[in-house]
Amino acid sequence: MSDPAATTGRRRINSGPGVVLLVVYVIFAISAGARAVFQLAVQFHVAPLAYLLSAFSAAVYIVAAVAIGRERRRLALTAVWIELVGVVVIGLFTVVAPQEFADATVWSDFGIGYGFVPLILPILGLVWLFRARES
Amino acid sequence: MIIPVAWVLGVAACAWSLWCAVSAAVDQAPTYWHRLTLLGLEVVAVLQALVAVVVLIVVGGRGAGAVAEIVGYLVAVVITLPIGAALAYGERTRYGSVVLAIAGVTLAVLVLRTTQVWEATRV
Repeated sequence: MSDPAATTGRRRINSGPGVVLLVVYVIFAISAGARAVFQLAVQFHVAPLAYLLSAFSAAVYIVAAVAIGRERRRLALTAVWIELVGVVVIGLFTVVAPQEFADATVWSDFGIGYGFVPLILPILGLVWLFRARES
Repeated sequence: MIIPVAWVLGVAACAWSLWCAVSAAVDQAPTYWHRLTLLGLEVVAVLQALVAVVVLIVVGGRGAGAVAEIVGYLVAVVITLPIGAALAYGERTRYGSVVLAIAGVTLAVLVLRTTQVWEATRV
């Protein structure tokens, strides 16, 4: 199978700093995914909106991790943009209308539960994906 | 779960992570010694997880939700270093060391969180 990066002369998105980004996405895909499965299976009735949003964020992390790992630039960019919009919108919602969320999501309060990594990660991801495209 | 062993594992994971971070800072790719010590940490993590599962089965008393949460954390503890090693294996640059450093920090956080859940759900 041909290497897309080699044929276009562009830098691979899953090497160098990209592999660091990839490991963080894999960690978040696993942690958010496990959290979502647990919440949906055991306590869905407690906070359905929050847990469905957690499941959505887990899906976005999984898609981003797979896209970066398999060198799918456009899919990776789409997933990371969705992630950035999601963390900003849900972060704002949880600050402005906290009563709407009976429990925290991964993206609540801009990812404060995960040391704000959910907010920083898509920014670093976009910077890396654009830099890799230009080089 | 043996709490003192968990603490030793957490501290060792932090120290190993720091070593990997320093290696990355001096532009060093992961070496044989990084991988050998990773293997040692993984052996302790697996043994610790096995002990925890045996205690969960033999002693019992915890609710289904608590057991599911603990098992989830134990699985994460066991797979973190192999994932880091697999991703770092193909990266023969300083970024391979960064990947290992992140895996080490993640392991330490997961061990700490597992210990918290273990203690909080103790009967």
